[in-house]
Amino acid sequence: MAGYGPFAIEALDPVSGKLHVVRVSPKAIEAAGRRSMGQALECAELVPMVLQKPRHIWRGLRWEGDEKYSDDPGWLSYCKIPPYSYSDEGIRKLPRPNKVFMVCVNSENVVYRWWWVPCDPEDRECPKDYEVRFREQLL
Amino acid sequence: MKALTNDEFAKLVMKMASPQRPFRPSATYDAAGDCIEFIIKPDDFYAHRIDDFLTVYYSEENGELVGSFIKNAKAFCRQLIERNPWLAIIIEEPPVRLSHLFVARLMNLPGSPDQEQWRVTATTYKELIRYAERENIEMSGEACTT
Repeated sequence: MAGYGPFAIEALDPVSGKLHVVRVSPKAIEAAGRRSMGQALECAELVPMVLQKPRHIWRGLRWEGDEKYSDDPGWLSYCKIPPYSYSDEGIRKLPRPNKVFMVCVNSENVVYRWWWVPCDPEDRECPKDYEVRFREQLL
Repeated sequence: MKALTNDEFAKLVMKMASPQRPFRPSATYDAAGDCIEFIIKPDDFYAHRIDDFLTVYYSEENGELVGSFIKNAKAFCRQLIERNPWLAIIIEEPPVRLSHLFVARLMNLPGSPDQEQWRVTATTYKELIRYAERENIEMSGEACTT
């Protein structure tokens, strides 16, 4: 965590229903900031928004092979369609069509990745194949 | 640990934002998430899961492959080395060539070449190998140190 220290922010704890503290990976933030202003802004604004007021939270993955390398299937995926997205240049625009914003948190409460993913055709507020993709829906 | 307010977080993130111009493709190992991200182009992207190791990024603008993400990187490397001891020789001394990891994974893809899904997945790995070679992508050996 050298350089910028731990980026601790609040996220909804799906078990208690209260906010608790998670850390955002500085390297992931740096990587977003290197790519474009838009991706830096989405990290700055959308990541906390989705973590604190998610539409859905799932725990674990259950596709074949997933998490066979991890003893703890405690990874959480937070998901929501935020009210806006950003262009490469950092201009606010409508959320991306047919996509949901997903934030991934590992079992050590580290936010290690966030991205737009295609939505499910049956439920546009969920990622594609959510019914077979995740182990347990918590919210 | 005290959490930052959302405003404090946003200000810190934006202080770190420095879009690279001209953009250079690169691969980074993130120990906090134990993952390797390979960015080919800085386009807006959406993520598509390929298999239990690999998620790829496709451009929102034109659908081109613009990056990839390997999760559980240490386990990924450990498994590759177990199956392919020669790989340990290649990645013994960093920097590690990203293409070597993709080649090793391709050689161990589960399934069969007569399955459509296997061919789609193999084609994706092949494309990543091509990009990683073309851009001469190397990274520290941290991910491969077991």
